[in-house]
Amino acid sequence: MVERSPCLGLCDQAPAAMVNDQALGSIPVGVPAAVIASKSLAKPAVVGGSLRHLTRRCGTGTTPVLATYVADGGYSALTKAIQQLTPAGVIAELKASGLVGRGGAAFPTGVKWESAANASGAEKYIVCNADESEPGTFKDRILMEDDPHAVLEGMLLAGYACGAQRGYLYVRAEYPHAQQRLAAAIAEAYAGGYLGSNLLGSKFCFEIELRSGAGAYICGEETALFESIEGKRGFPRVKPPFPTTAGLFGKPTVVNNVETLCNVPLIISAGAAAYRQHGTEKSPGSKLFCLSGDVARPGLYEVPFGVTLRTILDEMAGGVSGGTLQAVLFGGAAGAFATAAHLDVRMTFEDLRKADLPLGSGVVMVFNHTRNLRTVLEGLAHFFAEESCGKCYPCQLGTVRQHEILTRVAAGHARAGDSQLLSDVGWTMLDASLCGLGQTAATATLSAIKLWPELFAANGKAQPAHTP
Amino acid sequence: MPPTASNSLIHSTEAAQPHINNPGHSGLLPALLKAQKQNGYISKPVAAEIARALQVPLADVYGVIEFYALLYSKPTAVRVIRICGDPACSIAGSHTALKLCVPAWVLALTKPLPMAGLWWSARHAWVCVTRHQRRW
Ligand SMILES: Cc1cc2nc3c(=O)[nH]c(=O)nc-3n(C[C@H](O)[C@H](O)[C@H](O)COP(=O)(O)O)c2cc1C
Ligand code: SF4
Ligand code: FES
Repeated sequence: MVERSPCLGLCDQAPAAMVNDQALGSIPVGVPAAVIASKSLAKPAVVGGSLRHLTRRCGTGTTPVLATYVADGGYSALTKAIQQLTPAGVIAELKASGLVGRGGAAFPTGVKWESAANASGAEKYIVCNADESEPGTFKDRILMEDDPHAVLEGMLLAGYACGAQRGYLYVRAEYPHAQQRLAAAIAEAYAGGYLGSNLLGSKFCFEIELRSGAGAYICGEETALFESIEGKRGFPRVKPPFPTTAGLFGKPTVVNNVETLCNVPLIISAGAAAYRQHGTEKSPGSKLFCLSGDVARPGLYEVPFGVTLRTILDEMAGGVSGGTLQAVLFGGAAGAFATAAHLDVRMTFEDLRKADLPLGSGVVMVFNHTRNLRTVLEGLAHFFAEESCGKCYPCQLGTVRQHEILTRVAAGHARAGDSQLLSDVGWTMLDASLCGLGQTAATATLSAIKLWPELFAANGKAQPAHTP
Repeated sequence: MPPTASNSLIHSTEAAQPHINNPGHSGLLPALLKAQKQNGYISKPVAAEIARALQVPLADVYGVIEFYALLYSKPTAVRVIRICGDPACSIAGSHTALKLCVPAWVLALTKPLPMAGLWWSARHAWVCVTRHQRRW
């Protein structure tokens, strides 16, 4: 049985597939699927970059067990926090560090924690959002597979700072390997006294439960994720109330991305001042970028904020492969297109905002000059049409409409006015959708209309077809 | 005869997570995933058993099964191959891989193909059909 799947988080090893629970990378094409199933297991990812803080244990092909993690300085941040800092002290350090969320919305993490800590009620939750399903993203998978204890330590610190007793770690179903690693790490942490009651001789108690998704991109949206943990369909909730006042089970909840949480032990161990030595004033620290598509060395690259796209693409990932640069899909399916003109944009929140590029989840998907961008756009539209949850009309109808139009554009049957239609649909979704999915479902299309209006022209000359 | 879910299916927890007990609505997704892992899909009796044990309306159980792409209420093949069709993979040829299997026999029937193509399609169709054998 063969199915088309949305992004499997193995974009660095494209084309990717899964056979039951087994991830396959670089599958052979042009052979029957039965042959695909037989071999080509996914390989350890290429991990590189000029700053190896978050990823210092990643890409080695091994997962550190508890003893290795502790010997390497692991859980020292938790020990320091419990023995030397008050919960408010942890939050103050985090605020001073300037850490902002890496899940896409770039919300200041310290502020989020503080409002959950100040929320009334004794029962609070920490949720780690590991539903990573944004096409082109695989950073959280590598962090979880190669450094699972760091994720747990980040959650523990969040629990300590916010006064929560319980954490949920929600991992997408397409990551069985990461789930196994995390389950093993959780068991080790319980056995080693890093999870459970009265941790490290204090009064702090914390439990972590691993949860699996079941194939729904929308469950990465924080309130849909709560619904999913509660055993319901993953429909986003209307905000406010915000999670920090009424989140999971209606209780104050902090929800953070995996990469965000992995930054926390670094900040607490080294201190905010040391953390701020990397990156820029307004974008401190480092950032993970997921390079895929037509690049010489697809993989995960960690860099301090402030380097240019050119540095990441040319110096680290080996440059464009198979031709010259046509476009970069930046930030994910919910992101926007960049061109060679953007290569010198510095990777900081402030510079990217000026350039109208959303950092998103750090996706840099490269297309060389031989690629047919109309097909790429059709693929993105297909993704959103499939993944829209259907709760609100602008997105339910808009994503399907967008896909219809882009399908005929990709087939070379664009009609006069299609670009106007796409803009109308796009702006309506952007303005009127309930959640981030609908609000960003057209950003890539809108950016393409701006950059290459000729792509949407009626009887426009077809671009070169796919070169497999 | 499909196996039915026992209470142990719902309340027993993974060996790696002995601290977890998930009664009620919140245990629904884990229970469904677990049942599916055992049987390949969630049969009617299993769904009913889960609904009863967790005290969740059966309609909610089906609502959840239908919402999530990876929950199946119908039997699946022993081997489910899921090929990524999103851009990084599609430019690397995943659509060719996708086309080669499922629609091969459909193509052979619907499109006038040259003889060589027809032969290949028929061959692929045979491979696909044998791989599609379901466990009823
Ligand atoms: C449709 C949609 C999908 C999302 N998927 C994810 C995801 O897979 N992982 C993630 O961390 N955040 C995702 N987010 C963002 C979350 O809603 C939330 O902002 C984030 O988890 C907060 O964590 P942070 O503050 O650490 O960034 C998604 C948002 C939307 C609207
Ligand atoms: S914007 Fe789309 S995904 Fe979000 S609630 Fe509306 S229909 Fe669902
Ligand atoms: S695995 Fe195919 S695009 Fe991500």
